[in-house]
Amino acid sequence: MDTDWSVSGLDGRDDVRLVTVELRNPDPVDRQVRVDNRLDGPVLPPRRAGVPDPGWDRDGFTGVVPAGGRLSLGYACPAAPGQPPVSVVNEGRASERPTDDTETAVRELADPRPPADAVPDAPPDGGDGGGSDTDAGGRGDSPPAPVASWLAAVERRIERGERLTDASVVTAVGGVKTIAADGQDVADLDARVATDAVALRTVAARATALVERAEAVDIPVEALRRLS
Amino acid sequence: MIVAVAAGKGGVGKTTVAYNLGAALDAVVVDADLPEGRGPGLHDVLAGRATATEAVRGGAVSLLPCGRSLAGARAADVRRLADALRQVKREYGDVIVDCPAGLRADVGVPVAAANACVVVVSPRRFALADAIRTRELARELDTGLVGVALNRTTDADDPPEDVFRRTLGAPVSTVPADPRVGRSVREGRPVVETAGSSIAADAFRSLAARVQSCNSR
Repeated sequence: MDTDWSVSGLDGRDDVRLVTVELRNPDPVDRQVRVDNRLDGPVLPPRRAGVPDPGWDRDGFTGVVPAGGRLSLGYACPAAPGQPPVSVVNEGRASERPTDDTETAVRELADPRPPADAVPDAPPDGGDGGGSDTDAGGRGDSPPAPVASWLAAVERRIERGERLTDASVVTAVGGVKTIAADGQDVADLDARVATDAVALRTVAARATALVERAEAVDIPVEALRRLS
Repeated sequence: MIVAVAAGKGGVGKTTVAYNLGAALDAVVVDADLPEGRGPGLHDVLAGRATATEAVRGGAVSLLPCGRSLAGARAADVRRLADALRQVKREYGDVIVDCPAGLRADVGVPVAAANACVVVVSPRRFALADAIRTRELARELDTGLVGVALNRTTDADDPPEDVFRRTLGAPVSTVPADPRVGRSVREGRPVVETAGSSIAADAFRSLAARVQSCNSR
């Protein structure tokens, strides 16, 4: 088995290598090969619809090089460059390997899930709304995920409304059609945006009040520690 | 065994066929369009929030409904479907899966997991193309086509059974248009119970017999 390989960088990403391997089988029979990644990182194999191509696993690739033919492989690996990037083992004459039909179906057929944009008001965990009333996270200066998703949904509605405000007849008709296609009525949208405005104002007032209170908090940590 | 009930096209009565075939086989029907009711559904199973057996509901026909919220559909991972179906099969025996319309992965995965496939067609010549595409998918995924349900035929149709049988290469069961069949899912009363001597009930029993003969081979 003749093997050629190359390792190259990825534009804009210093931490990822692209590895290509070309295998040539000079023999008159199909050969089974195992290609193992030797770089210090996981194999990121080629995928379709989120499913790795047949033969790929976490550590490398297993497949067949046809008699007198070639097989070209490529994968990415978040690791420092090393040489050689792969080890190739000739596992002898090729035999039939079972394929996973479920993975084939997912790989070959389109994703059945509705696009994320189609679920604007969904809680980010996709749950049934039975969330807890404790802090929902949020780190640093970004708001917690449920708040961010609510704001994003409101923003989308307002943007739609803005497109219909002062629109020319042509764009307005186009907009009305788009919204009708979304299953929403223009009147609904108007009412919804008005409700959003009230909710936003309430949130803004509450947020401002909480900011003032939060900034006024000054716990005498040292004094309390001495007392305890 | 696991039987996938598929149709390339929506609106041909796939759910009704799956439900009544499920009754004739005493199988659990896993369905995309059944009334949801309370409790976990298939989306919860596919999102890892419930086990398949928790989501099965009793009744005239045991059902595992899908759930209808977009958020649930978004969170579902269709790759878990094959395992979920096998789990139901282990616990309950036969499983009928009502595949969604179209040819996406949510059809491909149950067809791949199934031991046999039943295609539902409407008695129109243009329906043939969709049925052929579905049969091709089943063939690619190594699932045999055991029967064709030619659904909602009327006397005026002069049902083109021969055309379908020759083209699809599988026995055809003709289910006449019958309001009792149409109501069966909504009322939760399969036609083999409510009208056991009707032609429609005969059709479902013959389809069930074909599925079973494939199982015993």
